[in-house]
Amino acid sequence: MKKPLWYEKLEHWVEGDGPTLKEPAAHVEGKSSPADTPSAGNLGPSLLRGSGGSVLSWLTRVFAIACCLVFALLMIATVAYLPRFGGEDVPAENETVRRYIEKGLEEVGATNLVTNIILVYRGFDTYGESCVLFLGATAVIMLLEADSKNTSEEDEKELELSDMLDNQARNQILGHIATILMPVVMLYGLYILCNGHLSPGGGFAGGSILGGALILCENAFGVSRVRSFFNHRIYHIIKVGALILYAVLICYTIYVGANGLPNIIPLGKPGSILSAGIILPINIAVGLEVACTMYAFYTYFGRGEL
Amino acid sequence: MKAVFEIILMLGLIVCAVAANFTKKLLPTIIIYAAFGTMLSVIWLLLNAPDLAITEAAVGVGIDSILFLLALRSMHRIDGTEDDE
Repeated sequence: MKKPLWYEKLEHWVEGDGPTLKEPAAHVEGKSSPADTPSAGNLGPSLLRGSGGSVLSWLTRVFAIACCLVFALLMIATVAYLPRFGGEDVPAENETVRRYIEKGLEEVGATNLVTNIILVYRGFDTYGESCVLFLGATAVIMLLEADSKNTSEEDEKELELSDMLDNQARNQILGHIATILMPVVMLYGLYILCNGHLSPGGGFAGGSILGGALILCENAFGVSRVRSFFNHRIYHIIKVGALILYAVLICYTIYVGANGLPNIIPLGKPGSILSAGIILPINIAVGLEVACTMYAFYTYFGRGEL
Repeated sequence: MKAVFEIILMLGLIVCAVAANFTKKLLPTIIIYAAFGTMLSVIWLLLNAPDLAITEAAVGVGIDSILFLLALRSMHRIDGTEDDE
């Protein structure tokens, strides 16, 4: 079947001029060839061969396009019925939002209202997200940890050899760039982490930047350099400690708030770095948790150990 | 001016999303996905959501791409890594 010209042009533009992928990998992407629709690919080539094959594939394609069009029209029709963004009759514009905006600074003390909402008013949700990260990292460790049961001596020797080769012929360009970039990236991550209640950012963003800095360090200076300050034991202490700190703080806030008791954590002066009560420690806890998780994902996928 | 910039970015998003689906090699897909994330983070910034923009830039572009590339390396789908004929 001949492809239309625009498709060939698009394909050429997207692919560039390298070698195309081998056949098995095309199945990984779920698309054996651009001429087949995905559903036709699932039916198998044997069904489509012969005299009736082209009719069947044609019908499948028409059906697929019709389905897409119907769903697209339904979606567009639904969007047309939505109230205007930011209008006065939007259901989201109610007393909850008004209270967040009017009383947020007074009740919680962070000048960044988004942080107020996600870490204190909706702190329980964010705690759930941190638990998801914790469980994700735990599952990755369970599946990918290289211990005596799934690693042969050959594998270990191979890993040692590749480490040695890495150390002998380290990429000089990456090393020099990382020497300049590492402190800046680390400082930027810490800044975003500690200023979460004053400016945009906070735990998740700052933690990912710190995790990225750790990954950069591992790539540029080798795993032994990272291990000198961040080993298995410190990883577990930080991960569990941060989650427990977060749990204790959020439980205390919910208990005090629900029972109308006075909160003993001082709110401080809005705008200064030591203010906003529980938000600063929670941000640091979330950030450390995220940084540990990101680095653990990277290193367990790559090497199978921390 | 801002509206024009926004429209250009939105068109870029659509082009990237379509191109990421049509490409047959996996490495360009990841690079196109990273470009998609970068444009999306600029759009968040224009829509006055800087918190989201920072997180999108750090997680969506940085960490996600690194993890995807790592998965590709484990599958030996990048030229120049071992087991590659």
